[in-house]
Amino acid sequence: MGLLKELLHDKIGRIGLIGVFIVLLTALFAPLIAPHDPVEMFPQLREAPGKSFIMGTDNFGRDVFSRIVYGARVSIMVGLISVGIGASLGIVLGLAAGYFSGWLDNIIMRLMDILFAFPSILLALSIVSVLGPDLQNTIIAIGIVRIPIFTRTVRAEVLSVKSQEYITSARSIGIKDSRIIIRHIMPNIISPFLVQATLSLSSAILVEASLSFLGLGIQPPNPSWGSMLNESRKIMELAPWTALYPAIAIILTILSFNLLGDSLRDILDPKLRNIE
Amino acid sequence: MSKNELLQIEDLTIELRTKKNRYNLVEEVSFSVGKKEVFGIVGESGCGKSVTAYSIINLLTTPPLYISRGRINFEGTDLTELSNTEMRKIRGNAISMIFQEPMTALDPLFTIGQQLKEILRFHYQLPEEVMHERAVDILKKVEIPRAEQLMKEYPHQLSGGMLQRVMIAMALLNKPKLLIADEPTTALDVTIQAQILDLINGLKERFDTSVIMITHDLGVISETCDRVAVFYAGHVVEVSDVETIFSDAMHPYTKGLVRSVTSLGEKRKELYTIPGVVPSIDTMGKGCRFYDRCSRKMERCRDVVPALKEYGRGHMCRCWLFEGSEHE
Amino acid sequence: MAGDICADAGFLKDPSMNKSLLAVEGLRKYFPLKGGVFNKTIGYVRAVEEVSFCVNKKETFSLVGESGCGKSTTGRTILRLEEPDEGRIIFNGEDINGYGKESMRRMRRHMQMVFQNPYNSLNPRMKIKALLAEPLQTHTVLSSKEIRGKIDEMLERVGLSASYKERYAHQFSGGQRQRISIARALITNPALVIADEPTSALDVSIQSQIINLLMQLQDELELTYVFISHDLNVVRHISSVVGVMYLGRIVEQAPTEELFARPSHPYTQALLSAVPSLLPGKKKERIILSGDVPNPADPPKGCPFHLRCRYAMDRCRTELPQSVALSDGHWASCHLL
Repeated sequence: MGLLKELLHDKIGRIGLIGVFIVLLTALFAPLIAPHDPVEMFPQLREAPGKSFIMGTDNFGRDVFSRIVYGARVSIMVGLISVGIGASLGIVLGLAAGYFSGWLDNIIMRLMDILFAFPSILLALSIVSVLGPDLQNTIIAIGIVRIPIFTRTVRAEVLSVKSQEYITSARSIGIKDSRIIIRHIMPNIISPFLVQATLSLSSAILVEASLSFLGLGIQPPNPSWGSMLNESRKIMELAPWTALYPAIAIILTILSFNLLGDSLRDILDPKLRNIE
Repeated sequence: MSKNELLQIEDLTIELRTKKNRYNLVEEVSFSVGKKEVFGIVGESGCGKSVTAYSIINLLTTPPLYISRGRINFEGTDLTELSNTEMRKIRGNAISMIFQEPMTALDPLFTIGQQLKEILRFHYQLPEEVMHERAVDILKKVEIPRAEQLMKEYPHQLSGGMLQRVMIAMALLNKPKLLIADEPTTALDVTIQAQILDLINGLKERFDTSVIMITHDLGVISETCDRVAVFYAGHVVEVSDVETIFSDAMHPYTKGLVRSVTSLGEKRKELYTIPGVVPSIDTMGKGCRFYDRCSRKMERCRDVVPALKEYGRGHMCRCWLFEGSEHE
Repeated sequence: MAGDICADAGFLKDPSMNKSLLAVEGLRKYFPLKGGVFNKTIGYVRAVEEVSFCVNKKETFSLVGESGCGKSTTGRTILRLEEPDEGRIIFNGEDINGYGKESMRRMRRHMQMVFQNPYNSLNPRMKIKALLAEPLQTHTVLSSKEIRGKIDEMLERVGLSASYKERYAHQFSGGQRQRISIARALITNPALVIADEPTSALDVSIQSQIINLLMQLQDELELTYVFISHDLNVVRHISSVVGVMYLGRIVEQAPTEELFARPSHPYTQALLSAVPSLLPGKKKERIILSGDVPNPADPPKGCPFHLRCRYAMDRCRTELPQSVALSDGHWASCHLL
């Protein structure tokens, strides 16, 4: 659609889009791209990058490249599902708080304030330590942490749309609240919501990497960029590639999503103003 | 430029340059403002009146706007040739401007007194007491009660009408020869508007200042102006004294405009209207810009733009109905 | 108060016998001002204060006044877009102020509003046909074919081509958007239309087109208008009765020509004299009011106008004037009378 064309036009958007595309494809086609089984331990321990292992092997003789490729899967999956949880709950709460105001708004926002008060990594950490560190709980934890930002964004947008005269006009016609929310408010808040979702993805990936790095997220031997970094700590001087590649993967992925989100924001925002 | 002329605009053309195209927002604008005169510029939205006014003291945002042709003669100098530094000496000094929204034209972080003194300080080096006195004096001259106290107040503490008076005071501080007023009363209530128009009317005599009054409101024109230029879609279509504009206009647009406004009041009769809408800048044809809506259009009007010509006693008009019969 | 103006606004057994379509009695609307650390209510903006008037069928009642006088709030409160704090709103014989949420919602098909800002009152993401279909989908059970027919008919009626229904609002000029808003308001065949400054945001040459359209539709569809405006020239042209508002109250009310010929309240006199005349050279006898338009959050005691009134007496500072009947249908609230 037109949006895609505009993204490609913008230098930053182009880089972001390409980066995200690469990560997504890698995650999707991991079994086809990875030359080896990511958990298979080969006899060549800590081998430097070379012909058979293009990114070298780690402390247990596992192919770093294959682990990076499968790690993309973990990152994307955790990112998408947790943002999905955060976004869907966030939208519902944000719509309710923004449209109905009053005591409902107060309760919801105070709850969000409480969640906001904690740094996201700390909050995710606490949840995971309570529930137990595994893939599922990591996703849940990150998802919960994502809710307040969506609620706040959606609520702010709903409030600004609500004050528009076309909403009053809809009320004056006698349209039911549910229909006003779905047909009039939601289409007009999609854009900022999209931007938020994209930026949240990068944040979610970072949190997952941090949790795994701290040993509380994805548990080895499952490949995750964060846990790879964690494991590489002891052997960083002997085998720097075991730290280098996961770090680059994390940085580039997060950068791509952020650039995409920034570009999206620039494209969608002024257009919104232009429509008026 | 004759002795009684203060400002003479000749053939002014202002261009809008976008990445893909160039459009003439205003084209071949010519008129002159005399001393001790209130000169009105009237037109509807998008007609170019504000852009023209901003260009006089070079307040246009360049890019994307450029003065591509024409001269603006003020007291022997062509303002289009001045550098930014030279122009700054004129702004707020010999030529001042007041705007539609007084709330946004004043800095909310400084008191009225501080803002007045800043203007004085920029143009003249005067001791503090002298500046203070001049500031209070000008506030009193625009009939602001409790001027001393107002000096210490902030813009947000004042009402719209009061702020507009302050803005006028600021514009008059350095005794300008010309005051440009861009829709000064549009944002004000009608009883407050009456106060401000009264004030502006007094400027001619009391301050020896000419005024360019830009508005879309024919009532304001009627109440304050001596002469008027009518703008339509970037062209000056008529210039004359105010009585003639209302009673004996030449251009079909002027006549239509006056009729739609004056037919109000004839109880429930169908109002006179000008059919159609103002053309947008990218859909204008190469002929007269009023062609589509004109009730007296001819073949020639569609293809060629008529020139702005004088028809005696300072009455100028841009219309094929008259060209060919001018008596200069 | 209402009893004096429209004696037959009461509950006649057969509403169709009533001359008046709408009677407003003692309408009051305050907006709480919040402040302080705990967001407590520290005061009220008295937007509408004891407003009563009545509108006869097929006529136009105009509310005029300057900013802060409460005319727009009155309009919205009549439609219960803002909930009134007090008062009766008698529409076609029934007090709709008591209606529950659902009954009120269903009532809306009979009482519609046209808004001031043509750039804001149409949802930018909906096609015109969706915007016009919505009122019909909400209030009727017409088939899509019938709805499409009505949409085409309505667009033609407001002077637009039926093909415009496939477009979006931003593709139209201000005047055209206002026509679309009018079409949307009228598509359910309401009896009452409240027009809140419908031409104030439009260019002069477009204003007359829209006013003509409104008058024409009033005749064709037998509509009753409440017209809210600050433009006295327009009001004079189209109204049957005019009410002048100041600080939330109606200070004078009369049939149009009577009001313009014999304005009796000092504010009305000043307001009329402040309107610029369109005859250059004929300088009007102008009453210049001192001071500023007052703040409805902090109204003066006694008569709301006494601070700017050149006839103010001691009594005006302390006592609220009652309304005095001056002639048939003409009354004003002033101690001078």
